[in-house]
Amino acid sequence: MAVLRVLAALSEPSRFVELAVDACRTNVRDVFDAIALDNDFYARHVPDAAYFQMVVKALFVEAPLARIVGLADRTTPELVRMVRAFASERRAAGRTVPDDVMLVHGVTE
Amino acid sequence: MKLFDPHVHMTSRTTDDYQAMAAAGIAAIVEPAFWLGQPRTHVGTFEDYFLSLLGWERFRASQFGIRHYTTLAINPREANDPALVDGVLAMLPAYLEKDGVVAVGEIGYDDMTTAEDDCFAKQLELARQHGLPALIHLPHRDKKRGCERTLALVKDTKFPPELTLVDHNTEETLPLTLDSGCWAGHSIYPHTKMDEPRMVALVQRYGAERIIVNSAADWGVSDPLKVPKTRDAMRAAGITEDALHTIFWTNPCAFFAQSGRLVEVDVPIAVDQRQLHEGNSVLRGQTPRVDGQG
Repeated sequence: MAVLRVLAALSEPSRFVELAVDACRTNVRDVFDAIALDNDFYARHVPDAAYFQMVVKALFVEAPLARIVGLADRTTPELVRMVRAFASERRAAGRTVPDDVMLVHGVTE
Repeated sequence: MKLFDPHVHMTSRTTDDYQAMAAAGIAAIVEPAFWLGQPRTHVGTFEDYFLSLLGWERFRASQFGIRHYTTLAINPREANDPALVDGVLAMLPAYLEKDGVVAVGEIGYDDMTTAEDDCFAKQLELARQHGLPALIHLPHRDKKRGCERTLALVKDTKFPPELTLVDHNTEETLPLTLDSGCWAGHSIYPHTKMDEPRMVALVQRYGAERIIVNSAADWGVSDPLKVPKTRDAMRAAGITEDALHTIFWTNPCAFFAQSGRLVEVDVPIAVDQRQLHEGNSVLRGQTPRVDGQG
């Protein structure tokens, strides 16, 4: 986990994109938090599709979106669509929608 | 009423679960190959996993009076590991010919990457070549888009919808799945994917045709009695016994029977716990249960 936290500081960090995306597939919460929260690696090096999967996974596991680096800069209409779809699925299921969806700019417009 | 749980990962469950399931009326199960909670690092571990699904786990189920069938595949999550994919895909054809294999699965999408696209399409082709149905897992994130992409791939590859079971449906994906002609699975989980009252409402709205219900119980927080519990909730809501029989027995039997390998699903197992599998028993010194004696 410690190495995940410092990936962006290592030389040629783009070497570690696959490692970071793989770490994000974990179901070990500490591992997910280490790569997804307070860590600028995803913001700086990971392509949109995987960045968006990380954001939606954070919503699923109720990790605080406020601690995802670069969220405002990386938000695109596609991420807004995915987060709206997440909220819609929750409402259709009669389940609560986490307040953090509002941290993705454009979702509530 | 006999019940069928067509998606349950018994490798992760205890003998107490088998006893409770049999007591609740579960007479047959399908155990799909999936990921084990942490990534595997060798192709060989898949081979041993497949062998245990075909051997020890099938025996273990029989010792509690339950017919056990399996589906084999590399799952969508591990489809992203290039060190595993080619090796597992090369090994699969030999295993897809084994008795007890009633589909290729779980396949489908997790992150919806191009690696997953490729592995999904290749395994649908394997299903076609081996004359087997396909069990498809819908992704948890971006599920509706994942369902649309899944149904598009099934259509584009001309894989027959009647041989396709799309699993983990929700309110938003079920109409898409039913319109495609595929069978529609629902995993009843404590608090998340789908619960009993929501499943009752779906059956009241869409009927019983091509509807399948499972527990998807595994190593996480889950409940291997969700199939009987959902049957009870439907019965309490006034859903007819005919419809219950269709959903909880006839439909999963009809779908997996297309493999030609759902043998003796209607024949009750006479439990004989004196039996051994490769010299091993499920007992730990207890008195064996032997049906039909004393």
